[in-house]
Amino acid sequence: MIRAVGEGGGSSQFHSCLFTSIDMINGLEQTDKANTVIRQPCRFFVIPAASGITLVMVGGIVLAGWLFGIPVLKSIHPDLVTMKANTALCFLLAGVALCFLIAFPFVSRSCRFIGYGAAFIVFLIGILSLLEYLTGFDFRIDQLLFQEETGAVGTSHPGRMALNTAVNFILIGLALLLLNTKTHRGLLPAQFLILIEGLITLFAIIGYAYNVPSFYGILPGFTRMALNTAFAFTAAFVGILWARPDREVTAFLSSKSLGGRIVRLQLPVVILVIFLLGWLHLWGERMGFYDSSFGAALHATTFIIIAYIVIYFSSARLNRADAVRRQAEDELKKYRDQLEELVKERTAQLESEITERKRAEEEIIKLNEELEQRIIMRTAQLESANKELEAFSYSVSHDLRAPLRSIDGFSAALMEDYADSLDERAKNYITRIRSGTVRMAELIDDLLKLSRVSRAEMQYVGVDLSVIVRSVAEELRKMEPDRDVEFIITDSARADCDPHLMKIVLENLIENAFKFTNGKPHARIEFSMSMSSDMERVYFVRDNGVGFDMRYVDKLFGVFQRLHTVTEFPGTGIGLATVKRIIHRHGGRVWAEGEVGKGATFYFTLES
Amino acid sequence: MYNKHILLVEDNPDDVELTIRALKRSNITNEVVLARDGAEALEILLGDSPSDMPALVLLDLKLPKVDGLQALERIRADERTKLLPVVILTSSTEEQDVARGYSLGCNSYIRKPVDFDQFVKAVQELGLYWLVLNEPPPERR
Repeated sequence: MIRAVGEGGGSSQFHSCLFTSIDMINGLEQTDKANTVIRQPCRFFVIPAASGITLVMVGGIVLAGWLFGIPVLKSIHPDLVTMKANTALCFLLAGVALCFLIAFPFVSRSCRFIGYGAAFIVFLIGILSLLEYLTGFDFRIDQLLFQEETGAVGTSHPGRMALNTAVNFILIGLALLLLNTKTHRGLLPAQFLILIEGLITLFAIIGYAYNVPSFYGILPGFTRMALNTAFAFTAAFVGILWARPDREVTAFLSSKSLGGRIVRLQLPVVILVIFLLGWLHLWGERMGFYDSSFGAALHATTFIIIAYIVIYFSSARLNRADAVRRQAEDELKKYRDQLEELVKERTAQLESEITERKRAEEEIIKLNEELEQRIIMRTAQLESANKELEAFSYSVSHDLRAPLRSIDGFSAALMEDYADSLDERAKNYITRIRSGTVRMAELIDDLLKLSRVSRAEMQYVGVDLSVIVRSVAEELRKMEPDRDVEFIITDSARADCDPHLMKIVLENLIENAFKFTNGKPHARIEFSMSMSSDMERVYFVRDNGVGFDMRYVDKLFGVFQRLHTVTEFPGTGIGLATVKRIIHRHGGRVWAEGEVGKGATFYFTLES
Repeated sequence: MYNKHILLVEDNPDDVELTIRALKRSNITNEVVLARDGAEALEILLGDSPSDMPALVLLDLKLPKVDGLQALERIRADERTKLLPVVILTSSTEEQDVARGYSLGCNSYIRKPVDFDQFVKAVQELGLYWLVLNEPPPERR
């Protein structure tokens, strides 16, 4: 639907009532012709209802006039023709029909049948009256209700309605019967029927106004249409036409479109002006104010002036509406331009964002490539460093020991070959040189071992640590069979680890425990496993040896860090560093707890 | 048993002297022929004028020019010295060296202890084993 842009202030009151929106009923389609129907008309039936009631009242009054013989109720003036009883009955029935038919959705089905029945009787009376005129046959309906004396004013057959009245009732009856009927092209025949009725009525009214009897009495000498009948027909015309305000003619009249507004504005004025001008023209001439040519000229001039005024004002209104519309269009265009501008801006923004993102992506790809390159480079560097380290430790293992052998060998030779010329002190020094040399060799060996565990390739397999511990314990027992050492070894402490490296760990820990319990009358060495609070397997080696001061716990796992002198306990201080290195390579942790004189516990986990 | 000589392949003069001293101390009287690098050793064994085959080769690994393992490879490649008893006597026990030494066909692998007394003991046992107890491979004719 299109909304009229300019709100004209001229729409009459009943329009606003009519157009309060209510759904269409009776399956009548809404006309979609854009410039005919703007808002959906309502069915509040003010006009048709008023018209129906008027018809009922008119019919009733006239019938009462007939019943009680009151002439003024039958005709407006004694000189004028009466409204016949049948006519009054037809109006009454038509009014009832109109009221029931328009109110259909809100009343029962039987009411609808009453409406159709009444309409049909109207139609029947009309057609019978017409047939009486055409065939000359008397159906005896004219005087059925009331007798009318012969020779009444403008009446050829007493009690019989006029010819044009009969035709009008045929039209009204049909229109009412067809009120809810559409042709296959969607047109409403009722409206066309009622337009013809309106035309006939117009003739009658103009005829009375201008005193042209042939306009209201079709054939001279025949019964004429009464003036009150003509007025009642006018009411019927308006009522039936507005019964379907959304259709054809009425839709156009009630349209909110510009055309509808012009029609509403000009049509009543033009009709009224033409009617009045004609009447005044005639009246003046009859009164002898002017002759016919002067009258015609005056008529024309006045009409031109009034027509000009009417057209001028409606054009002005149109112009105002147009201006408003154009302004609205301009504004609309402005908004559209703004919108377009916005869209363009946003598009550009998006494009730049996309470009930015693409650039960022490329940057990321580039960075990734660089990173990969760097990783490759770093890996190569590490590999070469590893190779260098290997070469270094290889040459250390070869070359560092050779001079030591020389020192020791020639010291021994000195002792042997020159024993006689050396005093005890010199011999003691030589002995010290030799033991220093041997210790140096031990240190080198242990360092090489440490370096080896760092470089060795790892192979994870399922290993029973208990088995390793047992074999280590067995070896130690064999080495020192005299010592009283109790080994408590848990069964099946299994782990996923490198068996070779883990053997080094357990050797170191058990040997340490063995070493540091030396001197205890009853040594106890325990290997077991427990679960930590976060379900981690914690392995431990516990002894009741000399223990250590927890203040120095940090030093335990450092290279060459010792808590005892070599004379107390032999060792190089590399063993626990080696343990730590291996445990770390397994992704585990190692720590120790101890107390001087009471023993020590070494814990480790694998794969944290 | 012929009193055949020992071929000592060793570049370090200190080691040469200490080894000879250790042999003497062990009462091994076999003549000691010295080669100061692998090339010299190969010349002695496989050269144009080959002398008699030694009873035993004591082979160091870290040598100038041709190192011990290369020399061993060549010794084993030659028909004349294929079966010759070769004992690697060196400083290192690097796994790779031990493995390669055995795969190339050395008869024994001994690390020289730093402690001279132990070294003497090792040489003594070595001489006793290879020169006395062990039945040498058949002489080629």
